[in-house]
Amino acid sequence: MAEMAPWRLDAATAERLHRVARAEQWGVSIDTFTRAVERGVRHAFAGDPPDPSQLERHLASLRVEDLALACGCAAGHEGAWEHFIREYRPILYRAASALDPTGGARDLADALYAELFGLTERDGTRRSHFEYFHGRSSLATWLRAVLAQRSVDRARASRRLAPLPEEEPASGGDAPAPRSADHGRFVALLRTALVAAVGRLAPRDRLRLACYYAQELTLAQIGRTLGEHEATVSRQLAKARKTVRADVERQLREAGLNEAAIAECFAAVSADPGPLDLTDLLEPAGGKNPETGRST
Amino acid sequence: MDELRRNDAFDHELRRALAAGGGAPSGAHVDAEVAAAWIERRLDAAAQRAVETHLADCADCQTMLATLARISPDGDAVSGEAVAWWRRLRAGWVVPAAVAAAAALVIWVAVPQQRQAPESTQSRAVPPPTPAFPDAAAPAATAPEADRKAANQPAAPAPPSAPSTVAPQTTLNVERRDQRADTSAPAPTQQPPAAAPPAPAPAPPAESDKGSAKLEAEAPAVDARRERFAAAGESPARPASPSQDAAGGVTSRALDSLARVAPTRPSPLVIVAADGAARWRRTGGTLEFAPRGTAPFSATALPIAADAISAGSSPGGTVCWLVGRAGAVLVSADGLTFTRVTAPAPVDFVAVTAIDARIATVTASGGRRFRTTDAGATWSPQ
Repeated sequence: MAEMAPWRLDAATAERLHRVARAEQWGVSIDTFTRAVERGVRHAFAGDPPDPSQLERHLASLRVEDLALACGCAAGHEGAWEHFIREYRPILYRAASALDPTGGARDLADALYAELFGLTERDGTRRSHFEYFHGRSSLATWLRAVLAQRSVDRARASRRLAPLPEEEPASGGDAPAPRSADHGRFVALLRTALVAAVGRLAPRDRLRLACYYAQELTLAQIGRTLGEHEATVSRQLAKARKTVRADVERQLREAGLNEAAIAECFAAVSADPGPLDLTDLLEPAGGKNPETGRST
Repeated sequence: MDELRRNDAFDHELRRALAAGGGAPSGAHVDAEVAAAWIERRLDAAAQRAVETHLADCADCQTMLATLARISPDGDAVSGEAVAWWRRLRAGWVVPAAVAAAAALVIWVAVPQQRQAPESTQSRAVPPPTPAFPDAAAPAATAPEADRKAANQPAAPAPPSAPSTVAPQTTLNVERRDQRADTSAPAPTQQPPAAAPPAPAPAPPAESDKGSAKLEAEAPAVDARRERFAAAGESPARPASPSQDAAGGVTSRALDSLARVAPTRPSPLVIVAADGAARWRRTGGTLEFAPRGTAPFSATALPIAADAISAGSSPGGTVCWLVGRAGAVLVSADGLTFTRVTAPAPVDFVAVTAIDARIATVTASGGRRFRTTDAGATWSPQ
């Protein structure tokens, strides 16, 4: 990949960040730290030189102490590694344990740990995964995010290789209930209206609904994720759901359906198993409690 | 079709539509770095909105985000350690608190002159309690949430603005009741150069040794914990408050007294089972046990003084492991009767992580860790 624009951090800012980050304690020189900050800026702004106000906000939001620690670890500084092992490795393994309490995600954490140490080599030099940490979040959250990403990737890969369930042979036992001539039309009408209604919500409302209904997060988890109080999540979910339902029924009425026909629409989707439910196949690793079927 | 079934059908279809994604997501997929920065609200406003818009329509990125949310501890990285506490204060309760303080000041100044008109303060309305989710017309939606709450939620959720818990390892399973903490963490096969046991004494606080902001964040962290205890109907075992002068301030004599007493007073200890049911707490010189959230506490039988206990861990049910000073390692299967097991070394222990009644990992004050898989009969260093 071509080198990005030759943007450089000015010396005074670099010295200030280096001091604030207390990078000296991990043996990180100003030059090394400056290169790490510049790498992060280029990554954040996709190579475009940031304007001064953007740059100021970006630099102010950096977790410079965590970035200094990552630089120290990437360089193999003994004290930095001791600190990381003491403070952050438990976080990594707790996250793996939360992903899969039976220990199934431990190898993911081990692999990430090895990459952080820098087992992979390129051009004869050790490459540490710490180089991908740019200080835009805390090191702890970044570690969890990397682990979460890998867990999802692995779950997807394994499910792509899993055989599809065999079709149940048709038996004469439970014959499907006879469907009305309008069954297919009712199902399609309601589903189309529902997609349109959800699409008209604000992105945050859609995300909140998806977190609750599709991802099955708890209200507390959604609240932490979106930075909202649990009660706010609850109220906004109820409000969005009510809005969507009212919108759907309005669309059905505008399509010429009366109340009885609208009720038939709901009955039709209730009786319709639908296509293969991809959410069951793509359930995130560690997301379901095997005993309860609920999200953990 | 009755309303209940109609609600069921609607929720089912809503779930299906949302799981399929809302359409063509805008922008690039969210990688781990951006997800971490977004969830900590560290992106600028435009970038924050752009990521949110993408997440709203991208089922793949939602799955990653949900996984991250599940493995993030309560009140920790997601919202706590990311944002400086004064920012949260500004955005949160500081405004009404400042208004209340100003009102109190006005009343304090005005009341001596207007004692005849106290109704100005008595007429203040108490805000109604927060309504619970979902709307009354949606019983189908309330049931899953009730299930989730019963299965997953702590009795009193931490406020989303709870700052980073600067918690030493010994209090992990005390503060985070719904987190299956596994601190055993045996070293991977590839050891870094500095894999030696960590230095014992100046152990920095877990996860957020972030300079001065950390110290400033400790006060709201303690408050958040107290709120959690209070909301759960428990009284956190705070140290006895020193005497205060009439103005509410702590006198220097009281501070001196507190300084003399503090080293000898055991720190609060509350252990909550991983499934959130059973609890243990140290009150005075005894350790008490409650098998369920609403059950009364009763004293346990301990072969050592309760003050000698430094940490505990319960993997669920009534199983509980305790560790403490001078090689104290105890285990109980019924929650009430603790048996002392052979310690791996005659040292002080500061942490324990239990998997079940037979498997546990204890951490010595020097950082060494030992694991048993046979209820303490044998130990192997980690």
